[in-house]
Amino acid sequence: MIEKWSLRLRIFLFFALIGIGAVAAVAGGAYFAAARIGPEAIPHLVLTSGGAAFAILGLVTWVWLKFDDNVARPIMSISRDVRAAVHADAQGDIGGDAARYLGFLAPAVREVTGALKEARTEVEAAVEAATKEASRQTRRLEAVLRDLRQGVLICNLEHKVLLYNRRALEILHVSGELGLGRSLLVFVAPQALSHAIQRLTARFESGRHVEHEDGLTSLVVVHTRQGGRTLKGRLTLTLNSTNERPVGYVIAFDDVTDEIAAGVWRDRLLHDVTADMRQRIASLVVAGDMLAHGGDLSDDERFAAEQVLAREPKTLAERLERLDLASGDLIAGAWPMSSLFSPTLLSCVIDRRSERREITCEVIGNPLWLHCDSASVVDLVDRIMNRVAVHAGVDCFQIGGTRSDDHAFIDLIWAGKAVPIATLDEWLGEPLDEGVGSVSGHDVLSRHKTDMWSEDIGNDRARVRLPLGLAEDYYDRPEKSQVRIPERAEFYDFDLAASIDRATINDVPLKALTFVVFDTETTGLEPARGDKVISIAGARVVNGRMLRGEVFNTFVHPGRTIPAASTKIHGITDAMVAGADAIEEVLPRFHEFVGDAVLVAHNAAFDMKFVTMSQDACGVKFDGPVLDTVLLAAHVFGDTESLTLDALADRFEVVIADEDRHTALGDALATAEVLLRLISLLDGVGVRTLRDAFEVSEAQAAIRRKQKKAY
Amino acid sequence: MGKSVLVVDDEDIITLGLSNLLGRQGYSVSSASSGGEALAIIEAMRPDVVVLDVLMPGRDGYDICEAIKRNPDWRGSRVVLMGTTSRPSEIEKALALGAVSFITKPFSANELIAVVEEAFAESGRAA
Repeated sequence: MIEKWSLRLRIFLFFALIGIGAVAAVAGGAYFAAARIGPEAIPHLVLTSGGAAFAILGLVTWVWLKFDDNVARPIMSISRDVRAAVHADAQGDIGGDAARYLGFLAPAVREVTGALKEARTEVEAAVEAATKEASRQTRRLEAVLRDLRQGVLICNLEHKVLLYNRRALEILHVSGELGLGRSLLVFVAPQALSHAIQRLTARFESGRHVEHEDGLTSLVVVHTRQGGRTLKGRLTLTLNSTNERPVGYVIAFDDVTDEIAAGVWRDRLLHDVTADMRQRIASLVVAGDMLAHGGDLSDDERFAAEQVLAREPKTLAERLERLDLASGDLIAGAWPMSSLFSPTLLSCVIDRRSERREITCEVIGNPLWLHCDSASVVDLVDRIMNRVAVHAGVDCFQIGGTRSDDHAFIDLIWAGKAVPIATLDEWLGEPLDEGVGSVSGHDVLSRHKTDMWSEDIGNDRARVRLPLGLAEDYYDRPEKSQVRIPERAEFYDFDLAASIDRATINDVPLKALTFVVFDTETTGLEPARGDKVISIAGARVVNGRMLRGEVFNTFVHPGRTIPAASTKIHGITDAMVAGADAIEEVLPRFHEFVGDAVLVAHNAAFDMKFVTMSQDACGVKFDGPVLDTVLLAAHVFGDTESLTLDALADRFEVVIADEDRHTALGDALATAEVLLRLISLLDGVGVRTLRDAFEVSEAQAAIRRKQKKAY
Repeated sequence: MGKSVLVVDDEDIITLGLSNLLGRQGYSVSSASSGGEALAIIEAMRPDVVVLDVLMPGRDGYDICEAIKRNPDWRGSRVVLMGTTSRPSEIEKALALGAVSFITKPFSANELIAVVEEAFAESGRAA
């Protein structure tokens, strides 16, 4: 019991005991004196002993106050600072001026914490050196993953994401916020994944994977829950370090929605067209037979047959047209067509010079984005240029691209006459270089569904013209929402705990929890009087790490003007939120970002009031656990210390740039840093699980409620 | 002499059918089954309009079209090319080589008549 009393209380009681003891001794002395001397001495004794008791009490109180100010308080302050230095690595002025009467204690403690910091620095340096090599390797892996055109995810068997690359983020971003520790099943339907894992696990358990040509890999096609995307990829089971049991899987995937749509369309078309054509040819044959052998046809019959002969060929022609288009797509689809900037193509042609002739080339026209197989086009243009040079006896060309509606022309221009079409045809029939697979110019043209011809263009000049498709991507691409990803974002965490059940979440250590630390900026302090959120930001903290790559940050259109007084605080103006989404759009997105993480905010009650007031209208419910860094800090530092975000950031040496202070994201990130340090400190005072954190928060909240009532 | 048309195609049934069709429209129609034969007839008769198949053995339609346009004496003859694709690049090639229009097989009688009449209109304007 006594151990739980604070130092100041115990010292107070000690002095109180001295005071009471001294007064009791004086009173006892006076009593005995009165008994000896007789009643006539009582007034004198009362006076002198009362004066003495008063003087003693006064002296004891004065000494106690001095002692409290100069010893007890500084000792408590030192102990808090030491705790902060030990657990949270903060290094302030320990003890400060108040500890000047404690002799060498404060300097000694400063020396100890200084030595501790030094030792830590050394350890950190050693660790840093040791991990440098590992991190170099990791960076290389990250670079490879980042540049992969395929999405890559590593998950544990509960489908929790342990690693993702940039491409995976881009592909899956359509259906929400991908993040470490979040379930992949939030983004994709589970059936195909579970089926593949089940099959591969069965293969592994029966040992068949050793002989199986695919080992522990299986092809999977999964569908996103939103956005209707189809992803195709390979799923590989990963085993634990002793290869005894599966612990997760790697999946590498592409978005094949468009390809599948094209394939389905093609299959359907081929089926429709062939079935339909049979039907129509059958009608034609019957109608032809009727007319050929039908001397005895009635007028109606003859008319019907003639109608068929007039109508069906036209329909057949339409079907053929569609088939022609589809076959063109098939041919083009099989070749590596890509988007190409025309200056690149032209400079490749100029550099190509396969026949080493002395040719000068001038590039004309405007740069265009083309859609073609650049290697074969370069070879073709080079070949034609060389042939024209010999045929027309010229060594000076202009080469350039012009745009015409939905396609582009590559023109090769020279002074002289056009090349006869028969000659050009002959050139196009020749095989090109082996580099493009011994194909002819005609092959290249049909691959690009195009043609080539030569014509006079006046002023004794002629050209060879090659129409090519434009890269529609570059001309029609809609503005995609860009995912802002910092260069060195945390894309992986292999130490994520196994799935945490809501029922048992209270017993999970704070260090192993996933938090979303958030902050809002508002038009004012009173939601009940119409104040609204104008900015909301959150950062994910997973396994004791803040993931700077996984932040939520957006302005919110408040549907009202922002008072100048509040703009002064956060710097957000009406113009800045003019294009932002309303809370009804933003809050569901934020809800998805939070997932099953524990919400944390500095003075959470304030932010939660704004959030919960809007949640019904948004069709979401924030009913998960919420922690408040103010209450947690109060438990660690006591109520007498300043617990503002600035004060805590200062104490923990968390740097908030001036321009970030009072922005939702800046404050959320700072709060996240503060939370991480508080978790360390709380661990030191026995607050380890979420349940512990709730208990101490509730106690602090109760104290605050009482204080509020007292005022 | 009335308006004259030369139909050139290596498929006999096409030359036969088109000659019949255009004859019924009141044109004076002659026909050829190859590029070489066509050039001989053009030299002899100078038809107003030449309806020319693109795909022929030997000299193809583009080649003959170009030959007609390159010969100053033959320039009065308007060329209609009949092809088997409707790719924009093919049509542009036909026009670049001097044809007045390009018609994709198969086509209906009315479509052909419209194209030939248009060619005569061009011919009138040119004259």
